[in-house]
Amino acid sequence: MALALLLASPLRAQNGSASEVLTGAVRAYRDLDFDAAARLLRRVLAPPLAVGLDDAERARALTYLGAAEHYREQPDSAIAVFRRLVVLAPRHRPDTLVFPPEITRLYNAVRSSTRIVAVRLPADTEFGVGGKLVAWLYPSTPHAVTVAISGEDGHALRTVYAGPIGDSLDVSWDGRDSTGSFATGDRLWLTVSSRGSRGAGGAGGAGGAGGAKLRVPLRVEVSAPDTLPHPPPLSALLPERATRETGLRSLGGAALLAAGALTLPSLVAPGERASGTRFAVAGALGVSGLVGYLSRRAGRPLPENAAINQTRRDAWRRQDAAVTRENAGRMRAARVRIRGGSAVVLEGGGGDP
Amino acid sequence: MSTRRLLLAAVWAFAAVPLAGQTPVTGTAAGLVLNVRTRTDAGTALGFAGSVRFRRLELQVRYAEGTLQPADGASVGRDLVEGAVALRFVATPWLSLQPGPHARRFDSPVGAERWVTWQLGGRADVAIAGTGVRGHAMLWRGMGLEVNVPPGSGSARGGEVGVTIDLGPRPFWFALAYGIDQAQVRDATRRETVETLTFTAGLRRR
Repeated sequence: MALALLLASPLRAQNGSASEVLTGAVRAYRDLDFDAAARLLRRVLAPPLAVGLDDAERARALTYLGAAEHYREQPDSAIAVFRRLVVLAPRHRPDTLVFPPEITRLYNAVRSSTRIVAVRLPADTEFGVGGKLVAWLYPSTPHAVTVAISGEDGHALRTVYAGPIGDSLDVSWDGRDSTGSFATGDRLWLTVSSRGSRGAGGAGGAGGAGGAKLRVPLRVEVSAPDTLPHPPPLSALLPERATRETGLRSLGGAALLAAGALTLPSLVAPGERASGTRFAVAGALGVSGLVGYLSRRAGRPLPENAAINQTRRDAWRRQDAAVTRENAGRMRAARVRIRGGSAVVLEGGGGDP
Repeated sequence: MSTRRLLLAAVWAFAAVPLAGQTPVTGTAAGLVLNVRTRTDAGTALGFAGSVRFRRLELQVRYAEGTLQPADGASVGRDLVEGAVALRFVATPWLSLQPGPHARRFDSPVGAERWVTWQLGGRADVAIAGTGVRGHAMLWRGMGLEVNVPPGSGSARGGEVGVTIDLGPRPFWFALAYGIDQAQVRDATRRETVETLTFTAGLRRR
């Protein structure tokens, strides 16, 4: 029992809580024992102790670690630690009362070369038509960004913003894709691509030395009434130019009617002697048929068909516009709910300070 | 609801459906000149015709009167008055059905002779040169024939073939048609065959 108590005390001191270890590291730093400070800080930033740190404590630990590595004459390690700090908290600045100018200069140099954006958005947003989700973006340093809504496969559904970002930027999204339809799904992404000034990557390709790509998962639900289908495209339009058959059809129809006029008496009053007046109509039909044939030869425009087609097109447009109006009215009752998750940095935004 | 009422409702619903590119109500008014020939006499009559169309239904009226002169030059001439009403049902742009009464009266010194026929006809329209020149052919059969002198009934049939010229955007149209009909009184040897050549000039309101 006594042995156990004797052994337990050093073990507890060795393990400690994350806060205790961090406090010890800071004390070692102030005592100019940078090796011990670095060792303790690396310990506190690694599991399992790292789990007990919040973002502010983690940023503090990284700041002390970067400074300690600097004084240990490990510049690469110092830069790597400060870059990690920039990715974690782009707006973080070392306390100038604690850290000397050489540390803040080094940190600023790393921050300037590390183009990354932090995103903050509401965990749960619900709005109707006309409402928007607003995301607050703040960068490590002014640069150009592209903000897009992407599908599960990473394909951009809509580019929400493309341009420079200075101190901060509010980006809003109304829940629709580039076609104007609501984008719904459990695995959509708000993607922020930082574009480097040295030509490394454009939108969505800002890796390497140029910038970073960050994604925030979105879950978008839309409760909307059913909309009406748009009328199918017009398919049965009349030919607007005569074909060879058009003129022949005119001639054939007229010839058939002329023959009908000539044979009508024998159909209706067989045995009666018919007068010659029917020849006048048969002749008029024959002449009309010839006129029709000559005026409707292949390639000639058919204005009557064009007029009918125009009427059909107008009717189709009216019907389509009515459906659009009705659907717009129904969609006014739609509600959009967007739930945002934690941001994920896909590609580091490092550069040489 | 009886089957008859259901049938009427279905016919009305179908008739109310417009054909493609059709304006709701159109009307025509026309004057006409008829050359009328029977076996015994011939002459000219003047008259008018008109129609009102609502979607697939068209109401047609026609009236004409004139004098027929005997072919032999010796007999007495007789006056002719005829009129018809038809309700035309346009089933497709080229086919229509039209029932309706047709009455024809011959006035002579010995008295008036009336022929009343209830006709049911089918008419086909053919576009010869676009919508500007159209031809038509119609055959009809009498569903009932009544004659006053001597009193009796019988059968009748007839037909018409014609051509219509529509002057495009202007509201004028002209038509030339040849028609023939034959009526036979039952239990009698009496038969009347009438040929008509009709020229019509009219106005159309879309």
